[in-house]
Amino acid sequence: MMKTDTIAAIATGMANSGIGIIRLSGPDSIEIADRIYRSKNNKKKLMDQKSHTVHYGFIYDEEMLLDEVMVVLMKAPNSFTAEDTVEINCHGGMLVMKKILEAALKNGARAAEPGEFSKRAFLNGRIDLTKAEAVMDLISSENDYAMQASLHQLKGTIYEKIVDLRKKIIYEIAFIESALDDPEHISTEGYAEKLSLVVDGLLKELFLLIRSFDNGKIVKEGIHAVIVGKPNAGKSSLLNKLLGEEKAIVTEIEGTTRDVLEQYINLDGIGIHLMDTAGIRSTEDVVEKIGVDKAKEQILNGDVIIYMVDSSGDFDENDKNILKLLSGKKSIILLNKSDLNTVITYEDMKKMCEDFIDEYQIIQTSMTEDTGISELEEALKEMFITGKISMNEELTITNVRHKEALCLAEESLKLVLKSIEDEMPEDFYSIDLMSAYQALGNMIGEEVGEDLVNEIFSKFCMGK
Amino acid sequence: MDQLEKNKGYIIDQADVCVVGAGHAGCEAALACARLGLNTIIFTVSVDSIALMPCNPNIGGTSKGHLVRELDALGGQMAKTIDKTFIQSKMLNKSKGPAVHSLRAQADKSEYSREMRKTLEAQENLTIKQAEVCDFITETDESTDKVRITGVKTFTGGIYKCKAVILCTGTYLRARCLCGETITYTGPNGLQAANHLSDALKNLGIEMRRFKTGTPARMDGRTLDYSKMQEQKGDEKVVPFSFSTNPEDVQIDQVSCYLTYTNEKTHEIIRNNLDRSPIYAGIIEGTGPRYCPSIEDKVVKFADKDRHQIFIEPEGLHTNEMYVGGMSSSLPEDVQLAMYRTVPGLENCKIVRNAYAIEYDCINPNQLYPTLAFKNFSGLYAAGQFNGSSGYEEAAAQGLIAGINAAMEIKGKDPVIINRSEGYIGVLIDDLVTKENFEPYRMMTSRSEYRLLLRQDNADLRLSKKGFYAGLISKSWYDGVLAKENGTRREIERLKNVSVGASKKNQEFLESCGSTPLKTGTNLAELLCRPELDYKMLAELDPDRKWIPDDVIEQVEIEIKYEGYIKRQLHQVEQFKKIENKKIPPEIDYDDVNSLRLEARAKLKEFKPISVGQASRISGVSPADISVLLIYLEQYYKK
Repeated sequence: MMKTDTIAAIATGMANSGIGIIRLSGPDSIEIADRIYRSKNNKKKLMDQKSHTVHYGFIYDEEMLLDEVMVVLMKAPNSFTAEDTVEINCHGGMLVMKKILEAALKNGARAAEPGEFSKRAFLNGRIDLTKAEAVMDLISSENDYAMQASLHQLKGTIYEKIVDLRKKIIYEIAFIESALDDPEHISTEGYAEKLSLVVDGLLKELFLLIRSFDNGKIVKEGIHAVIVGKPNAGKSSLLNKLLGEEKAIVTEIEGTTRDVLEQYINLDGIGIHLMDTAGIRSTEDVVEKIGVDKAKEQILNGDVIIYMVDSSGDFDENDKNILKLLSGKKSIILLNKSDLNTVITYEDMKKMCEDFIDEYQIIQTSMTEDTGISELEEALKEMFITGKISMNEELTITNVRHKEALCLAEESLKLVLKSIEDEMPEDFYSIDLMSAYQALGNMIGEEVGEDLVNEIFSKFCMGK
Repeated sequence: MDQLEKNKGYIIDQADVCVVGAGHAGCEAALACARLGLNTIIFTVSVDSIALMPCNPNIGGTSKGHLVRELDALGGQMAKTIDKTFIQSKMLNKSKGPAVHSLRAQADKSEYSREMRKTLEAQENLTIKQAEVCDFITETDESTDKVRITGVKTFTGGIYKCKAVILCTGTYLRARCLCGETITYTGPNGLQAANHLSDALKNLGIEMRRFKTGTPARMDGRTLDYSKMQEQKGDEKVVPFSFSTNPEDVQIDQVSCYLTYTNEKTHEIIRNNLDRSPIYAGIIEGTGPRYCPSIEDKVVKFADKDRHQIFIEPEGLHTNEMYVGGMSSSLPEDVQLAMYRTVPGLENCKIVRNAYAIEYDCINPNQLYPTLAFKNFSGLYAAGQFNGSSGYEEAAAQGLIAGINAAMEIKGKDPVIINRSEGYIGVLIDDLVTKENFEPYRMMTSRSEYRLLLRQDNADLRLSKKGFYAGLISKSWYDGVLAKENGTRREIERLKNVSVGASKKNQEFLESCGSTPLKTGTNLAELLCRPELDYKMLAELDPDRKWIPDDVIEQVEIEIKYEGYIKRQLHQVEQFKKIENKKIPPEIDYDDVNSLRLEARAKLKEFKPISVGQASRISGVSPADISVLLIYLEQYYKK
């Protein structure tokens, strides 16, 4: 077994739900749990309990009661990770889960990386990675448990939407198939035109769902925060400050262009991607222009924009241009260099913001004096937890796997259109229609099975 | 031995294989065994009803045609016999892709039956015996602790010892026919039912179920007015079923079928008399097939349709009888007559045989391995409607596979299993033994995942190897198939390398074919992808072309024209094979596999899948269970 530290994470995903589970795994997990757990009579120690037992009690952050919980103990090697594992079953509110996780982190656990539980299970020989793809799938969806969880997390409306899309697809497949199986009873004349209209409609709906992923992904993968500002406003210093804290740096990704550097920080279990962009100012320089365009694009795609203003300088045309870009975006405006002579005051800034932006906060910071950083962090977390940055209640896709499934379905439907265009015979349409149907089925955890045969018999009259 | 003493029979004969039933499954099973050199006895309740076609007078049709072609590639008989006895033939779905082209031939029923009987009688090692098999002779297999079937016993007490028994009882077990309020306890066509074997099977612990099917009336052809119907002729150029039949031999004078329709009047009569239908009155206990609904069912379930198609098909050249396809029924005789007479052309019809529904005992095929051997017994195989399928072709295909595998077992060779990516036969058998079927199972093209690869035109390329392995296909024939395969590959390569320039002459040629001119130079394979061009047309641009056989040209065209789709499908097959090739050892103890869900554990124990692929298709076994199983197997094989 590997010698490792103890990790912790919210196992049930970053969304409000009926119950939530905080999972700890590693040699100190039971000890850490003991530090935050109290039984009813406050006499029970988890350390003394047997493996595979469940304990009723409360979680405290020092003297503050956080939640009433059930704690599940699984001792090494009889757990998913083959390490000592504690699962704290609490009420599923985001805030509660987050607080419990925070308490665990405070008491010695480290925030887990995505997929780290499965990784440990694999490294500890609990599952064998060299094997079948099926296991890879298991790992990539974290584990069976997490997969199940994400299945159930599909919001009711999305679930219904997918079911509805599938219904439309299977109807068309069933029609084609029944015509193929019973050509003397069912004619496909003029069907291609009809189908191409149906597929067009389906593609439009898929497109909307796929686009919604970009909003919804915040929940699962963290916030995409974009830092913008004129050159020398202090953007790089801010990034360093944020990264330099004792936060777990999970990944460090080189930007796709030399002008955008992406960093990932984990703010107490909430992932935040920071994109440091090139400074924005109108420019004739070709190379720099590319950088500026990139920055503009980042702003468009960012979930929250951190706009740094040098409060000791003048507010010029360039700043105005940036403000314009922020319209419609959730923004945090940092009045940086507050330690220097203030040219732009809080009030000035507020006035200017009101003209351009709907949702903003202004924080005064100084990178040299280290002020305002924690306020910024709190603001980011707060926005996430209170749901300011998150999905609206519309149809929103939050899971990469779901998005992939949608894209696969989209691709397959496009191939159907291509087959129609190429004047292929009808049986070719059903090949790709079926792929689309399957992709959507995977998304909601339903397999094809006998669906088709049942549909054929219920909708079309066949037979001798 | 104690069984023998208890039953007080007398030994009549000894053989390698006993086949019970001489319908389409039984004939194939018996012929396969005998041709593989095994001493074989085939039992039937009536020698006059060998290979009887008690329902529709045709063989083939969508996906069923594929089964027959595959059966032929493996060395079965049905294709050869129908080629000799058909009276009309059609390639269905010709306007659609090559994957769904399907042959269907109208048979001269009595000729088919006679011809098959002749083949059986001429077959070396094969004995025909008219007798009702009632019981089994058994022993306990000491090595496996399973019950071994070592013989059968007939109603008259005759005992036939053997190494394997193949059950092909069709619709005869405890059969009863229903026509309105009238019930007769017979098999199809008034033939004697087999009433004892069901009990013997139950005594062995085999799970039985009851299915139902039906057939329409037969009319006196002289009483029909064909001028009120549309004539349906056969194809101008007939394609034979068997790869070994010379196409010239099947260009015969064909007879016609006729198309007519039901109408509101028909439906009204049916609706008004539903209470007299044994199904709607609840007299029938068996489950009927949804794909072959009675006219009552069609009228009730598809109430919005104001008419249904009816095909009038001749039953043979030497009879007046006409089959009324599309109007099977179990309504009483008087209602039948009234209902049929509302159909244009049938106003004055006289019914020769009434329509009826038939109920019979069959097994839950989940008790079988994909070899069609029973999991819990040694030396016992099953095929055909007895396994809960329906249709002559489905029966024949299973009969062939059961026959081959019984022979393989006796000879100590590995069994022949066709997987879902290799043939419709594979889909058929896998569906039967792996999925839960609640109605008689009919083959359909929609049941096949890889149908673009499983075409009727390439059945020989797909399956001859297995037929050769089993010993039913000769070396010289198999060499011919390999030559076709190589010829196809070489010709495709060659076409890819013959370049075609955008010269004026070439452009003019293309235009004359209704094809767009070239923008740049290309090759013949690229040109062949154009829907409006075919291989023969391109001869003009292909001066070095040598003669190649038509069947190779067909393969070349299909492979090139549908290359993209074929590649996608091949990719899917590779995925499929990854887990299909992972075998599950028979001795596996699922209680030992941690973290399987309870339902999955129970299902796996019940189905005893032979591969992880098969396990993944069992309903109630989730992808997560499969992952768990894969991990377990990996460790298991390491030990």
